[in-house]
Amino acid sequence: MKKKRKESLFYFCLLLPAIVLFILFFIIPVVQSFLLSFTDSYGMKSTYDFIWLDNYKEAFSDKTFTQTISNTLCYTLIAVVAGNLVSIILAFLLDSKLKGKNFFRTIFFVPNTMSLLVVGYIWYFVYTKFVPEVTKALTDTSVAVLGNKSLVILALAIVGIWNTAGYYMVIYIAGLQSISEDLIEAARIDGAGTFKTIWYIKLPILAPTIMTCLILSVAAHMKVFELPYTMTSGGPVGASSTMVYKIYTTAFGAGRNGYAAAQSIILFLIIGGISLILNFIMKKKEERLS
Amino acid sequence: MTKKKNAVLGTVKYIVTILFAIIFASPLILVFINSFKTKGEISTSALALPETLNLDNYITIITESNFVSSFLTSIFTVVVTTSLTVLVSAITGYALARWQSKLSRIIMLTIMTTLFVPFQVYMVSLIVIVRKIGLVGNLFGLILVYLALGMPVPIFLCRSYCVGMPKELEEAAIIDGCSRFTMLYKIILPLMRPILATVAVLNALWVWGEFLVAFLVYGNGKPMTLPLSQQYFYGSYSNQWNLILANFVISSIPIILFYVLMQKNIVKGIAAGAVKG
Repeated sequence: MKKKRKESLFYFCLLLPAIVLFILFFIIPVVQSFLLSFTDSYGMKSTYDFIWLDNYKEAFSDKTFTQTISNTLCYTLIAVVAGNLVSIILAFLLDSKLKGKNFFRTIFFVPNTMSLLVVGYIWYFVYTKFVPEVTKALTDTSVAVLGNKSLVILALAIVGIWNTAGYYMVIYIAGLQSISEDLIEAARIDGAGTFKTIWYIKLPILAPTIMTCLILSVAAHMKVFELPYTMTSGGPVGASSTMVYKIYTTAFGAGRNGYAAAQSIILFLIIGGISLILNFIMKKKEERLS
Repeated sequence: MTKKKNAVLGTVKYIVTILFAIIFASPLILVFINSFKTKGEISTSALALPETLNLDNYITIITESNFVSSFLTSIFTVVVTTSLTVLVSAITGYALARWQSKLSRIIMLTIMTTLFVPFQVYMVSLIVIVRKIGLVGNLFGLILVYLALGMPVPIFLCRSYCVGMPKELEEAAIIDGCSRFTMLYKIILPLMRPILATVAVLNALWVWGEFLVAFLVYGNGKPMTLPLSQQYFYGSYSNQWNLILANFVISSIPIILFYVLMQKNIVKGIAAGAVKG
């Protein structure tokens, strides 16, 4: 009995630092975020009143906020779909016996090692110096991509893809390497060519990995902040303002903590909703396969 | 016939790979070339090669800006944060793997929840709390927040690793009269070395380039971390792209080297994290 208690005490001691950190920097802030979203908390002021759903009502009638929802969804859709496509193609290219495989992998991964802030500034340079110069030379009109309302989200999504493609490529390569050689060999003997093997064997086996990457990349791209922060400040006229950028300006620019908390909860509900749907689809698929 | 087809396919594959590589590398090459130009050369053309290979921009960065001090601050921040993260996730992961209790289950549930609730969702109230404790603008405050935000996935990885470790060695050590803490230090932690290396490398990579948390928690604190100093530098040298780009080049070289050296661990860690997450 005494030994058992000593054992529990030992494990409790090991868990204590993590427990304290979780309570202080996760549980309290999350609960408080939820509560704050029903209040009119403002800046450094320590008192506030409960205004219940007013913040949420305001959010859905505030065009500058609803616009950020559609901007973020649009950005995420492009970056997730095109990004995963690029990553899968890169994984297929680099999974095979290719000379200089490691060199290429490094090139595709390097953008992911760089700070998102630096990535944003570098692409600001590309979009404001390089692109206008090239378009001027080719068509005689210099195109300002970041100043164009209908191009700016696409421009940011390209940067998002550039930054993350190498990361998901690594996951896809790991997925491809887990496919047994025998299976591929058997398909080849049965007369399946390279593309048939990819389409009928490799891609179906890769399906769970694709789902994982979709869920991960949706969550990652929905949180985009540094790119509008460095490249556009949300402009032109809010066309590239994303949800996290909006939350940031609402809370730290305008000081409206309560309203910003409500916007954060809406962001959470959207990310959670999409992840749940994707998870549900994955479960359904797995059931059908088994 | 098929041999010929395979050879053609191989060549096509190679060409496509090279095309992708050129697209991915071109922004970096552009930055690299322009970092050797003068301000005037960049404003006339971003595409032309520099007339002379001058290192003036780099010399200016190293001697006149706070690059060196923020470089050292970032190294300090990474070393302390990563060491603490490795330690905390190792002991927590081990305890969660071995101790079947209600508390363990609650902690596991909390970790699962953190994976679905990103920092951006609670950043507003987190900053309110950090401000209340008086940790705003404090480097150790930043390190503490990094530790808390960065530990869920490492704990998860360590726990799975420990579940797969045989218990016999520990039991034998206890029977031999070894105290539990000595056993942890002498036997468990060395056994966990492979997963701890993976955790460390991924954590270091994240902390080195992290901007938003540093910006909100540490803000205008001095000495700045590298991303913060880059933001400051960009703000105060706006339009002096020659200096800004040179700054980006020298601050990115260490992390690229780090990747090349640690490639195996990074790749392993990302793949493991994806499966677990």
